Amino acid sequence: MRLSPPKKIIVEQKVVDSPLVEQVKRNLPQVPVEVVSHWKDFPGNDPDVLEIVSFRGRLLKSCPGTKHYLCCGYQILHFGTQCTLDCTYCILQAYLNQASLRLFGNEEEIFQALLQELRQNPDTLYRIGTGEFTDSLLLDPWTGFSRRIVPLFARQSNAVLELKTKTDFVENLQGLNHGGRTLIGWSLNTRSVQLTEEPRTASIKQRLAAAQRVSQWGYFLTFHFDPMVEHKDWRQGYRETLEEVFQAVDPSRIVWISLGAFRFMPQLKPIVQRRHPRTRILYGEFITGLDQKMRYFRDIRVELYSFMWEIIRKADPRLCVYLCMESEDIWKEAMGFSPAQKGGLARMLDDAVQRKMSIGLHCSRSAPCQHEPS
Amino acid sequence: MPRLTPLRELDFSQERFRILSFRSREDLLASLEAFGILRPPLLWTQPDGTLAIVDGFERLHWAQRAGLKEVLSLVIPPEVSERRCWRIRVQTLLFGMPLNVAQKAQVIARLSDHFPFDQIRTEFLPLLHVPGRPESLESWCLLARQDRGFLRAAAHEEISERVALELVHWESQGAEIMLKILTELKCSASIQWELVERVKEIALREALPRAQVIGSLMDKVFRSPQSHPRRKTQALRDNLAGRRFPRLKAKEGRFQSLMKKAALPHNLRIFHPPFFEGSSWQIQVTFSNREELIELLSVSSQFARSSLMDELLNPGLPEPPQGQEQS
Repeated sequence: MRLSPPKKIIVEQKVVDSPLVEQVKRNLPQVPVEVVSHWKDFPGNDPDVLEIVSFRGRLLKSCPGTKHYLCCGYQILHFGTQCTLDCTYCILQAYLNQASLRLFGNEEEIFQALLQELRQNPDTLYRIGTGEFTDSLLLDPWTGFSRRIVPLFARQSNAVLELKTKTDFVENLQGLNHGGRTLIGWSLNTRSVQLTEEPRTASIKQRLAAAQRVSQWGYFLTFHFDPMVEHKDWRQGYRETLEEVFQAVDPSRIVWISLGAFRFMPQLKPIVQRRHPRTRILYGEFITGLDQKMRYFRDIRVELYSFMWEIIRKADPRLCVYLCMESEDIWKEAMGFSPAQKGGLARMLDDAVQRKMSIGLHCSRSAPCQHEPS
Repeated sequence: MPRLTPLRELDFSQERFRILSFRSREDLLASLEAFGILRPPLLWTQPDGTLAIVDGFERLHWAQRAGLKEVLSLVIPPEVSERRCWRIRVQTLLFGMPLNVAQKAQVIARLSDHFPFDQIRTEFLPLLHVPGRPESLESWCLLARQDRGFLRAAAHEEISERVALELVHWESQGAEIMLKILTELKCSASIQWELVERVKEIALREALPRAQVIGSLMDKVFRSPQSHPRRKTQALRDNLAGRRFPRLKAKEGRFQSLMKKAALPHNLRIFHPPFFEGSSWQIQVTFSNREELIELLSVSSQFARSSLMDELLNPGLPEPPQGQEQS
C-alpha cells in the first residue's frame, strides 16, 4: 500500500516547535510548510493538506455509544481527525465538516491528560484506542506517533493501547519497547468488500502479513469485522478471511475479535450516494434501529454474527468475540449468551486483557461507558 | 420608457428567452380579449437590429393574431449584452406568478449557457430556491431537456420536484413507465418518493434495469382498470415493500398468522417492537367495564402461557428467501 504525501502542511504557531511537527518535516522534506497564527485561519477543506494544530477539547473520552445497545467501555485518545482512505461507508463523511487531515501537535498535553486519568484511577482498567476519528497508523510513516505513544503505554500498569488500522504501515512498531501493552488491530472484511468499498486500503493479504509481522515482534492482536456487509457469497467470503486469519497468526495472540454489521446515520446515505455513486452497500435490508441509525433487519444481523461465531469458536473456543453496539436479544440469538451473564461487555473485554495479556490484574473496575444500556 | 413598437420589427422566430410555463392560457387570453395588453412586453434589440422577445411571448403572439400593428413595449438597447438580458429575464419571472418546476429547470439550463456555475450558484439559485450543489445543477439541466409530457407533469405537480429530479437520471424506459404510473396514481409527494426510491434501490441491488423492476409490478397492480387509484397505490407500495424488505415482510407475515391462530378478542391486541428491533412488545386492552377488563386480562394471561407466545417471542431464524442476498 502506498501513501501519497500531502501537497502542503499548515502548522498552527502554537505547535510549531512540537516533536510531531519536527518529525513530519523531517519525513516530508519536499512538502511546503505554512505557519499560521490560529487554526481558525485554515480553510480546512482540502484533503491534500495536512494540518497540525493545537487541540483544545477533551483529549480522552468514552466511545460515543448509545443507550439502546451494549457499549464496550472503550476510551478514545483524540490525536487527529479525518482519513484519506475514503472507504465508501465511512461515517467520517457525515461527522466531520472538514476534509483536511488534521493532527494535534500538542502531544505533551495529550500524554499528560492520559497519564493523569490513569493515575487518578489506578484500580480501573483502561482499553484505549486512537482510531475513532482517523486510522491509527495511516499517517504513522510521516508522524512516527507510534514510536512515542507505544513506549509510554509500556510503563502503565492499568491500561492497554489498541492501534486500529486498515493499512500495513507497521514499520515504526519494530524494535519498540511495548511491554506487551499494545494491541495492533485490523479491520477485516471479505475480499470483495475490500475491493469495492475500501479500494484505497491495504488488501486483506497485506493486512494479515502485517499482523503476522507485529505478532512476531511480540504485539498482541485484535481483529474487527466491522462493518460486516451482506453481499453475494458473503458466507464464503467471510469464511475465507477467517481461515486466512487463523493461518496467518496464532489464535493465542488474538485478544478479541469484534463483529459489527454495517449501520449508518440516515444523513450519511445521500452523502455516500453523492460521493460513491457506484456502491451498492446502502441497498441492503436496512431498518431504523432504536438509536435511529439504519441497521440490517435483525434476522440478517443474527445470521451474519452466528455464522462468524461458529467458525471462530471452532478455531479457538476461548477467543473473546464481541458484538459492537448490539442489543442483548441479538447476542443471545446469535451466540447463545449475553454479556450480562459475564458481568457486562466491558468486563468481558477486560477479562480478555487480564487473561491473555496479564495486564491490570490488580484492577477491579472497568472504564466507564458514556451510556449505560436501558 | 415604453414606446410604441411596430410588430414587423419583431423577430418572432427568436425564442431564446422563452420559458414555457405549461399553464393554461385561457385566463390570459380572456383578459387580452377584454382589456388588451395591460403590461408592456419587454424586447431586446439584437446586434442585427431586430427585436427579440424577452418577456411577453403570449401577449405579443396574441397581438399578432389580433392584427395589431404596434404594441407599447419596453425596449432594451443593443449595447446591453445578452448576459445582462438574462439577468433582467430572471427578474421578470421572479415577480410574476410563482415559478413551477419546469420553468425553474428551463431558467437554470439557459443560465448555464451564459454564466459559470459559481455565479449561477451564488446569484441565481437562491432566488429560485434551489440548493447550490454541482450535481443539483446537472439534474436541473437534465430536467430542462426532458420531453414536453415530462415537463408538463412536473409543472402541474403530477410528479413532485424531488421525483422529477431523480427520474432524469433513470434510463428512459424506466422513467417513462414510472412517470405513467405516478400520473395515474396521483399520490402524495412523499408516497411518490417512496415508490421511486424503492424501485431504484431494488434495481441497484439486483442489478436490473429499473424498467424491468417496475414493469413486472405494473401487470400485477394495474390489471384491474376499475380499481381506485388509492387501492392501486397501496397494492404497489405493498409489492415494492415486500421486494425491498423480503425478510422483514416474511417475519411480519408470520406474526400476522400467529395472531390469527391465537384468535384473540378484537379488543385485545398485541404489537411487536417496531421492525422487531429490541424487545419491547406491547399489548393493548380496550374495555368498557370491570368485568370486561377482568375477562380480557384472563385471556391475556392464558395467551402469555401458551406455546403460541413462545413461537411469537422465539421464532428461530427463518431460511433466507431464495435469491434475496445482495448481488
